[in-house]
Amino acid sequence: MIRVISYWKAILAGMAGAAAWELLARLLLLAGLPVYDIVRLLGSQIGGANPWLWWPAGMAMHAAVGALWAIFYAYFFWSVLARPPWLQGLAFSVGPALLSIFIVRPQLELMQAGNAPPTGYAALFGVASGWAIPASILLFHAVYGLVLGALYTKPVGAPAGKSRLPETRKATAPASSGKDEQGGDGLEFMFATGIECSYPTLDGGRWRVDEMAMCGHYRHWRRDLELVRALGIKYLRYGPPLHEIYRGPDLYDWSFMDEVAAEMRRLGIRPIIDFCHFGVPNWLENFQNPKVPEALAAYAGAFAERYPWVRFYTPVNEMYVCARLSALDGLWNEQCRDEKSFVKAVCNLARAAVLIMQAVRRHRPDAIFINNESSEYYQPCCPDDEIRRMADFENQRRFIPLDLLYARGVRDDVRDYLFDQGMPREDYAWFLAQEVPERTILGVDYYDWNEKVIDTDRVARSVGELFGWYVITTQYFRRYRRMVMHTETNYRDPRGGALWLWRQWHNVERIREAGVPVVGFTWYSLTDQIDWDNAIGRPIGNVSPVGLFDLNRDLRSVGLAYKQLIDMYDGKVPVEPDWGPFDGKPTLLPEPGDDK
Amino acid sequence: MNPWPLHGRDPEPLQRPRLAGALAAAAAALPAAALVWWTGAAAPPAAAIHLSALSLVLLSIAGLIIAGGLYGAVFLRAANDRRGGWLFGLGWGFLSWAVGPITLCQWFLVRPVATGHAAAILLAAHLLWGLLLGILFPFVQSRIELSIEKAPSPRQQGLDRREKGGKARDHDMRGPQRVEQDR
Repeated sequence: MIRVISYWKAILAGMAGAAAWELLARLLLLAGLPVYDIVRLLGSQIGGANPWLWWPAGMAMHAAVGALWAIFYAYFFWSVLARPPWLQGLAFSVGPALLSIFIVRPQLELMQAGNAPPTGYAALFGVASGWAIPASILLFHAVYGLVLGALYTKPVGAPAGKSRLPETRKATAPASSGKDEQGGDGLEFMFATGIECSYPTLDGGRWRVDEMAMCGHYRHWRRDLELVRALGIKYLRYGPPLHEIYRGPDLYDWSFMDEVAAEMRRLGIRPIIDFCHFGVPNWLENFQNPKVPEALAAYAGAFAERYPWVRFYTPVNEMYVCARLSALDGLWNEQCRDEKSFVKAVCNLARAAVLIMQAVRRHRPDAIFINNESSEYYQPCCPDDEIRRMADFENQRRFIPLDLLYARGVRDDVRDYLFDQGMPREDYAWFLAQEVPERTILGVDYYDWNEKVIDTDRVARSVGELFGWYVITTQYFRRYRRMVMHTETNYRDPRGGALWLWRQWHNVERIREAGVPVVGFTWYSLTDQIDWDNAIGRPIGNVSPVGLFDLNRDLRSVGLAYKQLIDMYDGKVPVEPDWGPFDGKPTLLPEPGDDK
Repeated sequence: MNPWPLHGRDPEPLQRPRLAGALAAAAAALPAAALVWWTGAAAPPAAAIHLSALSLVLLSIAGLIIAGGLYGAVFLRAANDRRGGWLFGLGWGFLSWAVGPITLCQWFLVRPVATGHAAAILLAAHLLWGLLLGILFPFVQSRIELSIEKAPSPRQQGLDRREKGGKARDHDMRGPQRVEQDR
């Protein structure tokens, strides 16, 4: 798939452009100017000379052609130029205008020609009758392009509050009672993938991007689940659409999830349920809202009660990334750009994660929590004290949400930063007083943009893989000493996906040999994703070709490579669960500063 | 700038878009050729280039098969798009009409190759062919794609590609000495 487009928007925009063209043409013709009359030219093919016939016929044909060009624009031209939409439409119109001048108009006239057709290059290619007609063709196309460009915007996403779920049967009783077959302390190595499910809001909360809708999961969810099994994958990171299910306090619509859950059970898929993936329902507004933690915990409790067979949970996905992009970088949800908002978001997210774990355990005491975080690392570019200080602070900041979640005190200067930015001291004490459930796994996500260099201009820039998953995970493992899972990775260039997959896998193998208990590996996600090239900050519809399957649900190379990897290793990677803080002595590579 | 072809390329590991394009084009060419043949629209252009109508139709089918293979080569993975394929094909049909044999013949002969209804039917036949090509492509693709068992190892392909690229870079950087060493 080239791009996800909005058909109805493109069709309406194209027809509106054709209508604007016709309006201008009629006015100019009424004024007696010699301009191009496409509607008459087209309509007279069917309606002859009778204006009551040729006008509607011609207008219908012209509107249809306008709609077709608009769909073409949506697929191939929209967002290619980093310019305002109306300017993109205007630039696009040049192509059809030239085709019209030199090819289409002369050919349409030939279709009406009698026994004495024109000859000569000028007549055959539309420039024999002076400049007025070609100039008017350019003008009309410009009007069409302007209208098309101005109207065709935001092809993906929907106004916040509008449901995108398919019509499903009415909510039924829970899919089934009874617990997962894999109870107790047993754990096998988890080869996993995920359904991309981010759902933040943009534009001050007015527009919601929903990756499940944009990637076609609501339409193809049965096929998606079948594809998971077709690759031999049993574990699926799955984020039920919180904003669609959680309609208000104590108000849930489980209809979609009931069907999905039943199908998962039928196929033997073990879901790793993700309660909050970069967004909250409209009625909860955003992550600045202090009611978010309790509300999410209530939702998690209701979920665990309804689906008691589910054992694996991710309370909140990538808390650091969520807080950073929502409250510090101004991209999603509250779209704030200040430290106070960041700290508030971090506190709410971490508190939500703690309360969610408690709520789930009330219904499923042996639940396993996979707390995943995007592994980040900041490298100072040069021996500049300020740049080194910035890198050091960022390398501490990345740990804050997990530190709070795992009741681990942050560094003194970071604690002072939290207090300075408005975190109440009693809240900090509350985090440190929490009892962390034993059955937690540290999820470490890794992409090739996670490592950044703080450059001479003091801006953090992604430099690709600098030290790799092994080294960065070592830092996280040393800090939290929990069992680890590689919870997300993918690669933006599909030609390099298979090698990236194997590189990540060899990192997992190597770190396991060093004694770190890695219990799972994930290629994220099952299908390509939408607009992650701009961190889903703008609803454009660009495809990020990172999936095991593309959005047509056709296999990508990395999908086949993952299947071959699983076939090779499934059942051959022993896991000995060691819950709680790990007390083994891994033989990891030394960290800089270890000798101090 | 966002280079759109990135999203549509890379048909590996199972797809064979060029072959699928040629086969779908062959199937799509039959109704289009029938339309041109039965309406007599083939006669004027055939006369213009001194061929029989039948020869022109057969020649056109061959040309359309090549154009279909080219369609697969240009769109690659994106040609398999179930939602947009009809439009890509229709656009390809329009393009083949606008800058294909009709326009080229007109250019070389400095006179039209068809007028009146014949010209209109030639346009309609190209659009019909393109539309059918786009619609049929995914169905043909699904019949001829490689099975997972027979597909080459993407890991091996990636390593080969890397090695090839590495050798090219080594050659660029170190000059012919490196090639001598390889021998």
